[in-house]
Amino acid sequence: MKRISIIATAIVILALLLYKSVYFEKLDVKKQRELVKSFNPKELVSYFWKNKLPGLLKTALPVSTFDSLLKANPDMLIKQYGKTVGISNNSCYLVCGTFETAGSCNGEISLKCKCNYDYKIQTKYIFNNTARDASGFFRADDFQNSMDFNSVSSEINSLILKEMKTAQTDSLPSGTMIQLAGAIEINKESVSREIEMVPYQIKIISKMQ
Amino acid sequence: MKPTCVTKNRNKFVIKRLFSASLLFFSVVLCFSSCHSGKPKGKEKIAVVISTLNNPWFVILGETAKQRAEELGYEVVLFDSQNNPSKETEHFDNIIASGFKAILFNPTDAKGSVVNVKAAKTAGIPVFCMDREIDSKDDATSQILSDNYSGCVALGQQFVKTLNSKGSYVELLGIVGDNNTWNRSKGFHSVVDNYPDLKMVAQQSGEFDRNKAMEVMESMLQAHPDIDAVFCGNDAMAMGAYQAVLAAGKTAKIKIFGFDGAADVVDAIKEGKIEATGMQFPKVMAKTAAEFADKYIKGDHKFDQKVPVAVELVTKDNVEKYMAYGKK
Repeated sequence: MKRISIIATAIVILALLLYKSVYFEKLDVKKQRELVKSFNPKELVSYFWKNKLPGLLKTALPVSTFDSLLKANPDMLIKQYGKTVGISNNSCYLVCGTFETAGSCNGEISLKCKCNYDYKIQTKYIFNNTARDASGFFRADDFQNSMDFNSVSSEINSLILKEMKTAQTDSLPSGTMIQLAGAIEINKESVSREIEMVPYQIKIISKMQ
Repeated sequence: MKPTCVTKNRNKFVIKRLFSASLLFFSVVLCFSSCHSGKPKGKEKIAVVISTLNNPWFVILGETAKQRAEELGYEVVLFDSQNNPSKETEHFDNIIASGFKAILFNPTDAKGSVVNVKAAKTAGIPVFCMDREIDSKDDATSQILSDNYSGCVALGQQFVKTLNSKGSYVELLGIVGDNNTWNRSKGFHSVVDNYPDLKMVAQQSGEFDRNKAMEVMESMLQAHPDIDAVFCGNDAMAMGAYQAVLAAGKTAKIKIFGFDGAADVVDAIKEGKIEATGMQFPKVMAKTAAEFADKYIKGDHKFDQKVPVAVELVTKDNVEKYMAYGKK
């Protein structure tokens, strides 16, 4: 009996020692942490774009749902789906949908949609933090200073513009069917009739001849 | 028999004495404890350390933090670092030695102030940064900061719109050691630099100071008399620049952009003297910092390290919604 209790105590102590000395971490979490630590915005954004964004886009809110909630119950929309950084009236959303283009002008593509709001995609100039914040992937706390956090935004925006250039979205004729995944930012105190989308991905389904 | 009677009497006497002594002792204890509980308990102290009280924006920040902490039941002492890092270090030394429970801190220098925050942390005093950031993500308990970059992105877009994407301009930077200076400048340039017909012909520091900005602007106007606009890193410099532009008789041509939401600039936007500013919310930052400190003292030690506070664009179109340092 005495021997059993000694062995049991030894096992518990050994288990405790092992538990305290071994630390498990997912490989991608470790990689992400290292990228933030050795901060290189290009590398970090490239990692996010290839490894994290595809999974995040699967959780995107259909534009039709976004649109009806924004009209009928904006508080619920913000509470359930909105991502807000710090103290702000702004909230960001990952959205997706299939649209017909209504025309393009000055780097903006207007979309046809039976919606409560008018939707436009920015393809020439993207300046804000919408794409970074809607992803919910980047946290200000992980960065040494705000400049590093902001340079992530600049890098994502540049990458999006590059992708749009490659996809030749600036020359899409009116009537083109596109599949879109993007980011939207709204200010709860002044929701404008026109809503701008920052596109992560635009897939052309069919072009008007 | 006699001896027994004497003993009994003596016993009675001893019991009486003991009873009286106990009564006296308990009365004294009771009196002491009631007197003690009746006396107001000494208030815990919070320090508010501000980079400079020579600028109305920081006065609002400091006074609001002080007022909110007092409302929460603390004794508050306000320290002015006079934009001098060594003065700031002196304040921290005094605060650490004087038993303060928390510091609401507006740093003089992103890098230079880290050492002070570290010293407070080592002494077990939580530090809550307000408005200005320190270059460390482990030493302050939390940093409540204006989202300067996003605010200046919005200002940059307004700048491009106002100038129809073409023209030459100058930039007045803030204090070069302050992260806010570069966050603002970078936010602005992240927009404006995409327009090749917008050319920056000079960029110089006005140190966030009205008089300094006026002097710098005067010399810039001599070197570049044909500029169309000036982007200033804060409202004090925007007002200094306006004075220089006014003296040069060019208010109709040169558009001025500021950042802060100061009272005189909100009025100047209404009067058409200044084009736009980025409205920061110093009262929100100061109140949040004071409330965080209160939570910390009461035992809640979990805070986000960085809490950005949104900045809003103010132009002639929406200025009626705003007042100095906030919304109506």
